[in-house]
Amino acid sequence: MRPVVIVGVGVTKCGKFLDVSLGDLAVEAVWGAIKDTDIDPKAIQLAYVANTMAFPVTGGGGTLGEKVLAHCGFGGMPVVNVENSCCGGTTALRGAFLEVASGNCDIALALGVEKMYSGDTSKTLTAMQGGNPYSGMGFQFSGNYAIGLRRYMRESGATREHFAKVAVKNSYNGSLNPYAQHQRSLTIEQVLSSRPIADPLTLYMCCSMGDGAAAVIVCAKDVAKRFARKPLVEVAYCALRSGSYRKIHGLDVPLPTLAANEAYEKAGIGPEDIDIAEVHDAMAPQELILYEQLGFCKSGEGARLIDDGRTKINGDIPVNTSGGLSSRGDPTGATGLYQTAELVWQLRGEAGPRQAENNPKVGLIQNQGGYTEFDRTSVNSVVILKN
Amino acid sequence: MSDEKKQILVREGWFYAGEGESYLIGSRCGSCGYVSFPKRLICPACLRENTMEEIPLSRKGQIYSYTVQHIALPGFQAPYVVARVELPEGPKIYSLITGCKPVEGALEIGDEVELVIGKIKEDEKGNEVIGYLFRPVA
Repeated sequence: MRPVVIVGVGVTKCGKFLDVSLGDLAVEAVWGAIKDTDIDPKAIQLAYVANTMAFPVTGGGGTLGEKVLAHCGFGGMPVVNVENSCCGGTTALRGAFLEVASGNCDIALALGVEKMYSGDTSKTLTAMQGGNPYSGMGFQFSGNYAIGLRRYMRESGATREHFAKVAVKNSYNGSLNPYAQHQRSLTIEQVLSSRPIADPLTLYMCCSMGDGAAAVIVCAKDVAKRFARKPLVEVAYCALRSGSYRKIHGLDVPLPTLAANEAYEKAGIGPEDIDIAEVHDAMAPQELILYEQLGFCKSGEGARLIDDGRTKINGDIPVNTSGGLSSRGDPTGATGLYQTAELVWQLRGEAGPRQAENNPKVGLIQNQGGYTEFDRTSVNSVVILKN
Repeated sequence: MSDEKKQILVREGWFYAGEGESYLIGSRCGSCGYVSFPKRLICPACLRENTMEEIPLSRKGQIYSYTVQHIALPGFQAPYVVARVELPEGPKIYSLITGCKPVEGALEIGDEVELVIGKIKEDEKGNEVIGYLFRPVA
C-alpha cells in the first residue's frame, strides 16, 4: 500500500436549510474541496458518497451519490454509495483511501451529504431510530445515551457539572467556527438549566438535527505535488469495526477501543502520540467516556481531563476544536468528513481562532453510528492523520 | 361493520403470554452457555449453527440504569421511564418501566423489578399494542 494524502477539503455550514437540496449542498462542498487545490476536476477518478436519510426523509431514493455528483457536473466515474449511519463519512474516507493506497486509482473523492430537515421533524425522528426494533417500544437514542451516562456517573463519580463542562467547551469552540450550526458560547448554568431531554441530558448537551455536506479529496502522495496548494496531510490508517456480542478474551471491549487499538497498531503509535482529536459527541457528555475508551486517560478519569482543561483549544490534547457534533452539528452521513476537514485545517495550521496551540502533528478521528442491539453501537471508525 | 379495537403484539417472538405465567423468550447456546434476548439463531460467541435453544427468562431483574425520557416517540406520552434491566441469566435488556413516577429519583440503580405483559401504547388505528414492561417490586 502506498502513502495517501488529503489535498483538498470543502464543507458547507451545518444548519436548517429547507430551500437547499442535497445536490446544492454537494456542489458547495465538492467545489470547495476542488478550489482548495489546483486540481483539474476531470482528474478525479472515483467517489465514495455517504448518506443516511435520503430514503426515509427527503425521498432522494437510491443511487444518491451518482445523482448529487451529476448535479456537481460529474459523470462516468465509479461511484460507491455508503450507508453506515452517522459513521458514513469516515467509511467513505476509508473507501477512497483504500482505492488510492492499493494503486487502483490516483485521485479519489469522499463526500458526505445529508438533509435531515424536510418540514416534518417526526419523520426524521423515526428515521433516526434506524429501524431499531425497540423504537416501537419508545426507544429513543438520546434516552439510550442517558442510560449509559447515568451508569457512568455511578461508576466513575462524574457529575452533571462535568457533563456541562464538555458542552461549555464545545459551544465555545463552535462559536469560533463559521461552519458550526450553533455558534453561541454557553455557561454551565445555561447548559444545566436548559430543557431536560432524558436525564441527565439537557437540550444544550445534545446535538441538533442538521443539513450539511463535507468533501475530501485524497490522492497518492507522489502525485499530490502537481496540484496541492496547501501542506499535505497524510492518512496514516482508517480502522473500521462493527458491533460485537462476543466476549473477547473474557472482556467486553468497547467498540471505540477496538477500532482505536487497531489504528494505533497499524499507524505505529500510541494514544500518547495523539496531539488533537475529533470525537463523536452526539451527546457532549459522551466525550468523557471516549477520552477513556481511546486511551487518552485511564478508565474512570475522563472527568479529570475536562476539570484540568487539557482538552480545550489551548490544552495539551485539544478535543473537538470544531465544536464537535454537539455544536458544529451532526448531518449524519457527512459528520465523519466534517471531523476530517477540521483536523486537516488544524494540521495545516489554518484553523484561525480555533488553531490548537500545541503545534499538532498527529490527529485522531473517532466516528460511530447505529445500534445492532440497543446497547451496542453498530459501527466505530478511527482514523489517524499526520502532517 | 365492526370497528372493534384489536390487541396486537408490538413484535412477534419476544415473549409468551398465555395460560399460566408469562415470560420473555431468550436463547441459550448449548455449547458455550451464552444467553441472549431476544432469541437468536446463531451463537455469536461460538459462530456455529444449531447450538441455540429457546429458554424462558427470569421474570425478575434489577435496574442496571434508567432515564426519564422527555422526547416521546409516536404513541407515547412524555415523560416516561425507560431502563436497562439486568436479568440473572446475563442479558441486560431494554424496557419500559411502569408503576413509578416519571421523575428523577423515582428509581435507583439496583432496584428489583418484575415483568409485566400489557398495553404499551395505542397505534394510529386505536388498536392496543401489547408489549413487555417491568415494574418495581413492591
